[in-house]
Amino acid sequence: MEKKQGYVTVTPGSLLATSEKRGEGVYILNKKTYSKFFGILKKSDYKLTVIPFTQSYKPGREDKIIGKIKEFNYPFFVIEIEAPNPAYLYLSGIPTYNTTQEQLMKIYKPGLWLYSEVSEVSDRVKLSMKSREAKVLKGGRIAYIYPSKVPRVVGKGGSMIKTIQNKTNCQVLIGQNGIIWINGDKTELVIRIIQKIDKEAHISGLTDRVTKLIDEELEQYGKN
Amino acid sequence: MEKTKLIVDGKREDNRKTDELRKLRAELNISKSTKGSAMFSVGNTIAVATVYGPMEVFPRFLEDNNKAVLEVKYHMLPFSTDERNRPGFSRRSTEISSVINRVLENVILLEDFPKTKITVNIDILSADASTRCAAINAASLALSLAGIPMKDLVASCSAGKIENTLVLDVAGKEDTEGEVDLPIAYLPLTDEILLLQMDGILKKEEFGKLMELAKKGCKQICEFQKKTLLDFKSNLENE
Repeated sequence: MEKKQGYVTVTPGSLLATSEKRGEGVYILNKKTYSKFFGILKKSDYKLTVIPFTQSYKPGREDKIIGKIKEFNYPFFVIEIEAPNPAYLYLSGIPTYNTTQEQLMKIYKPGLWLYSEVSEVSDRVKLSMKSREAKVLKGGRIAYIYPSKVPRVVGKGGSMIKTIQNKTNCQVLIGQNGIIWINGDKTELVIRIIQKIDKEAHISGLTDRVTKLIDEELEQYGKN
Repeated sequence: MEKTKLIVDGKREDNRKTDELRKLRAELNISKSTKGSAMFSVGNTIAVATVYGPMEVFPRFLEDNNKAVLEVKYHMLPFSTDERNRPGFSRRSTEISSVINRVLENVILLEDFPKTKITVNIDILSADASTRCAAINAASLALSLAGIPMKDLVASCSAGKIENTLVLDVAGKEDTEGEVDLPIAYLPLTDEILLLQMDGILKKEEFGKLMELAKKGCKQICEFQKKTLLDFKSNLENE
């Protein structure tokens, strides 16, 4: 265990508490709590959380995620979502109104990116396009980060993402699985900002530093 | 012709004491395309481990509904030994792969990822005794970097008997000319022995002493692994 201002880095098997405590990324052995991951420890009065530096996405119900259509296999589309197993978008999960299946096939082509919601996690992960925000993503660029760092990119109450969107005039959509879709003129700048967040997500005062970076980059952008 | 002595005045051929490890070195995240990778070297033995997954299981019938499937591939590269090693799988590499698989099965919390597969590839770049120990140490580091839930960092090292003296971390000539070689893998947290192999003959008391010696070495290696991981993170921040 190593302490620095604001956060504690732990390795697998670090002793976190001498009593049984609830939390994520921890396990209990002989009435003591140990860490499961190499990551950062967050403590509160009744809960311990270890956030790993790298982690694959674990689907949860009502998560908004971005995925890529792999193929159509009646009656579902297979969607790649950067998780161990693919997700499935059934035809019943698509609002059809008056469209026929043939028309749907013309819209949902393999290789297309979707912003959708996880409707069910059981034997299979099922997606739904019926929620209000769900849509087919046309154009734009894709960036990847680790799912554990998504909360930092969004910021407190969406503060970070609002700053990025307002300052760069780009449209940014973040999936809980760590895939980010960016559309606009300054997509490269946004990707650079996201990479910085990915690298320094665990150091406090991130929003201020990112705001400074955007201002600097925008100045250079204006000169060119 | 008389044999040269391996231990003179309590010092070994490479100027080590009898209970001293060779020089340890580790490098982390050496491959960008994998989730976690690590190089671990003990003296002239170098092992590189890469971790892929958790991912879809193929073929499907190997899938387990309750836990992840672990696949370990240990491989000695052709240039790792003095004489060229034939590439491909041999009897020896298959045995060591299965032995390492049994060690890691007890360390990784496989229940967290049902219906998936985790693959660990281990390559030996240079072999100078106790390659399986270096392989386990490298795999342990690579797994923790890949964000795979583990009970603890597993450490492994060998001990042996040469010229009626018990020594830690056999190397070079000691491996071929020594009387006993005993590699172990040890989980310091639960005080469990996960790997125990031995060739040669030992008295019961000697075996106890040798085990204690090997455990001591494993604890040192475990501390080294923890230090490497923590240093790696703080170096990234300073960049």
